[in-house]
Amino acid sequence: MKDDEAFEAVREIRVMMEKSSRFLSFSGTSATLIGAYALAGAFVGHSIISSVRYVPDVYSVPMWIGIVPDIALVAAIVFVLSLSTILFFSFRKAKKMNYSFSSGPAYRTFLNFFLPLTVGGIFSVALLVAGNIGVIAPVMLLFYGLSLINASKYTYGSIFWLGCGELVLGLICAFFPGKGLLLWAMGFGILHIIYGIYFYFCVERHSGK
Amino acid sequence: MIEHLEDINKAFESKVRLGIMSVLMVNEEVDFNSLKELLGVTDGNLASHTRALESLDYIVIKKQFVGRKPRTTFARTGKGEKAFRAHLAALESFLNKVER
Repeated sequence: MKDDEAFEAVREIRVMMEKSSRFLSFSGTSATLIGAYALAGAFVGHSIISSVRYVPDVYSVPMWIGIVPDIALVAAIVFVLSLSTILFFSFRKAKKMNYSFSSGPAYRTFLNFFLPLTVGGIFSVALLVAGNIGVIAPVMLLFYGLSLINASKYTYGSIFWLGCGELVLGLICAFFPGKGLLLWAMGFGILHIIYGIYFYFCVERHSGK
Repeated sequence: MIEHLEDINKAFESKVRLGIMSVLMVNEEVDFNSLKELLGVTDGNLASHTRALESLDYIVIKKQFVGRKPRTTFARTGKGEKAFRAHLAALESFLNKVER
């Protein structure tokens, strides 16, 4: 056996283990774009919320009920845009790198991500229905952070730290009820943008052959 | 230069077999098509290599029917895991000696 043969064997083992156990078709650009959508959404949300003062109180309902459909619409648009962006970029990267998108790791990543996230989403709706709007922002951040940490085992490990960042912001948010939108914008907007830039320069550039 | 090392396993000299074992070390079970796609080999090539590994008792081949379609899955055996780990250790010590 020659030494270059041994090197080649070790390289082959590493590539096969990585490729078959982790979902590696994630793109940093999509994280940055998602952050931008979230910031735009938070901005629109902020203007909707601040417009509430000028609505004459003709209905004998709590103030926020009038703006709930608008806020929900903005949130839904941000969510759908984010999901389609991440799917589009992942499909593209998978194709470029010749990975299978329908492989075991991709399936496991999405299952482990969406299971806690869906629970958090339904829980948020329950909170909304019950009128506990103050805790929705921290609940979203916390469940999102836990979903990321859960999925990080099957994809890039650095997603774990993004999840931790969301958890910290979620906990801060829980202690400062009035700052929900601000912390939401930081967690879903700024944190994603920072992570996307980090990912692009530190991970994609290095592995991009 | 070391010409021969006892623990370098002949069964893993083929790149395809090495790939099969690597994938099965980190996955409990892998089906035929996923493995074929991962390794980028043909049906016949994969079948002959998995048969060879099966005859050494390094992997088990399970054949099931999903509806009417046959589905073949592979899994490592305890013996295969041990052999692969020994092979890795041998490669490691070989490379360490080369570097020195």
